[in-house]
Amino acid sequence: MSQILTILFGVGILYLSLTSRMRTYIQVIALQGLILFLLIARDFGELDWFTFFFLSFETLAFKTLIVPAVLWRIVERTHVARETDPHIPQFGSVVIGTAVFLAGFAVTDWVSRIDPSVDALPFGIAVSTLIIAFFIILTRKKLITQVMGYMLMQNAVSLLMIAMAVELPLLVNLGVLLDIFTLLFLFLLFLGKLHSAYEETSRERLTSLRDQP
Amino acid sequence: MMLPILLTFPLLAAVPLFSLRSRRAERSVLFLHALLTVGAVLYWAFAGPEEFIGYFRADTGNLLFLALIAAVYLAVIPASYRYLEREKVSELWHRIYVVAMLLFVFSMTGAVLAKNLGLFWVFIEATTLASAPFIYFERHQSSLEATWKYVFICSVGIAIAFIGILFLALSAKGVSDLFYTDLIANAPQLGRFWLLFSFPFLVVGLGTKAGVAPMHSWLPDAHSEAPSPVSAFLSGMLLNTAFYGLYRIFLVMEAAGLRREAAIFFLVCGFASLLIGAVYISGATNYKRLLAYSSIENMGIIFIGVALGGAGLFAAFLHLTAHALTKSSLFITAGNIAHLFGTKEIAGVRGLREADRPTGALWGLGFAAIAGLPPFPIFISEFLIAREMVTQGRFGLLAAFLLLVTLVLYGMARAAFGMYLGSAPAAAKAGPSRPIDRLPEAALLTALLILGVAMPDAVRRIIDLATMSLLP
Repeated sequence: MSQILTILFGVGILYLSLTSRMRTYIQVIALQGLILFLLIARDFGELDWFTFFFLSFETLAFKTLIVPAVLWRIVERTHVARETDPHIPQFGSVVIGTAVFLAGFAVTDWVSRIDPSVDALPFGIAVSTLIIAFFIILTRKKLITQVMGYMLMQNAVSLLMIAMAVELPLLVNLGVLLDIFTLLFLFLLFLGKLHSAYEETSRERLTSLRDQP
Repeated sequence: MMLPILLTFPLLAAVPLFSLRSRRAERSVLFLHALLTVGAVLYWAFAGPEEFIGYFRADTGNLLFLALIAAVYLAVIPASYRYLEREKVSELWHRIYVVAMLLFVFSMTGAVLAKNLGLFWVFIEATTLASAPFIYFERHQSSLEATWKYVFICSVGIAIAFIGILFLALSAKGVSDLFYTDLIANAPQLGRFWLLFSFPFLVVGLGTKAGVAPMHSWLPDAHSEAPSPVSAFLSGMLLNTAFYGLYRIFLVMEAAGLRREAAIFFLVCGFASLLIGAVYISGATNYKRLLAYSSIENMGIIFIGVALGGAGLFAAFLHLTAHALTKSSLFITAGNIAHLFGTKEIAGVRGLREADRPTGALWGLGFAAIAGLPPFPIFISEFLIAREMVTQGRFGLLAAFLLLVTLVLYGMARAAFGMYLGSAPAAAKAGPSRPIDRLPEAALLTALLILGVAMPDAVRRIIDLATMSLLP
């Protein structure tokens, strides 16, 4: 069951290489949040109730519901339906996305030979998601798409934690929550302000502070 | 005794400020917090180490950083008062400034005092949240752009650092937790593969906050758009705070027998930052951005010093001390220049010595200090780094270092002399300042002169102990 969920997590990120629709991005982010919650729920018996409650809240309330809802609202407010003019055309994104996905598994194969305790499937998908999230941040022009790239990166980090079964102190998890909170707070504030200040919330409009060597 | 007071005061003091609605009360709280920080540093210097709830510790390893926070804070407060007065900020934004300052200093102090890498990471994250309102403070389109870049790039950097912490935790699985002292003590048992795997993530992630290349691009925008007293703090202490955590991880790598590998990463980042600084300082048209690029360059020199080791290590810590004091003074002076001339453009400022003698003198001395001219301590630190390169027979590095430092000197000199000499526009001559207003900047430069001419033994010892932090 957890393998199917993990594969579904990976399919979601691969699907994003094919699409430019903002709503699809948000749906994938919400789906990944739900998958992360289910993967944590699988370990219900192994976690103490407080950690379980905290992680459930983080994944189910934050990643699955609140973050997608806020992103949805920003999309509605800014009327950005799709990423119209990425730096790399759609076909190129699909090819690169697929290549990155395969490369992620090659890295995992290498890592799991060195450390067999690493769960190869979620590790590979987490690494691929991380790289694709970076790719989205670097190649998309709309600021909202970059924010979504960042959210995908956060989801990949959570999957990585599950793959490596690292028991980090609660305060670090709290930090992750703080991270998401920072983004929500500031992006909600600044994306709205940026939209009214620049009319079009594209990275290419943010060039007034550029320097020449 | 001092630790819980210092850590809880800003949080407890920030809450009533919202109901008091008094500018005087807000300023008094800020001043009290600065005095408390200075008092705590003096207390730990004389009374020795102190621990709090097992997660915080003040000792010789972090005393230098705490002392720098206290010194810069004390200088920044009068400058902040002047800034808030002359900009005629509204009651709401006055309160935002004060509360954000309390939380910003709290998060930096917490990061330096944290014994645990995870907790350090949380505090570094909090510095972004606390300082973002400052960058948006002047509410121009460019402030908005700078805030966006700052928050976004730093958040990505912090996420990368978190991945590094995950890998580090994996290397320590079953051996140690994330307390620095445990990591050092158990370093030989840490998994080498994961430790090595974690380091680039930590360098890039925390290096983002430390302002080193390749993740430096937020820095010139944030430093130039923030109010000048805050730029002083960002450049003088925030970068050092991030470096502090990175240095402790460097020590873990060293204790695990991976010093050579760690030094390569530090050298690459160091020289990349020095190169970025040299290239962009020469082409800078805005003097606050020029100072920001100089911060990138100086952080690069600190990384190079640590990578070299030996005398380079002492030089790196002397350099970070001198840079914190010099850059704070320069940014505060830059704010005064911006007020006097009404522009941040280098071309718009002429005849500084004529327009306002104290400001002109501070700008000139500050330039001499940051450019590494004798007798200022940056000259000593750069000389020690160059000498260490000769001692180690690394002449290629030496040539690159000297070339880049010379380019920086040329770029800085061109801008500084252009602003200092010539005839000032009539409007700029209208309102010269009272010398007493320039006391904080002057005090910082005086401290630098003392460090350069006759460094007190106590200071030398504090720097020495900081380099050895955590080592048995």
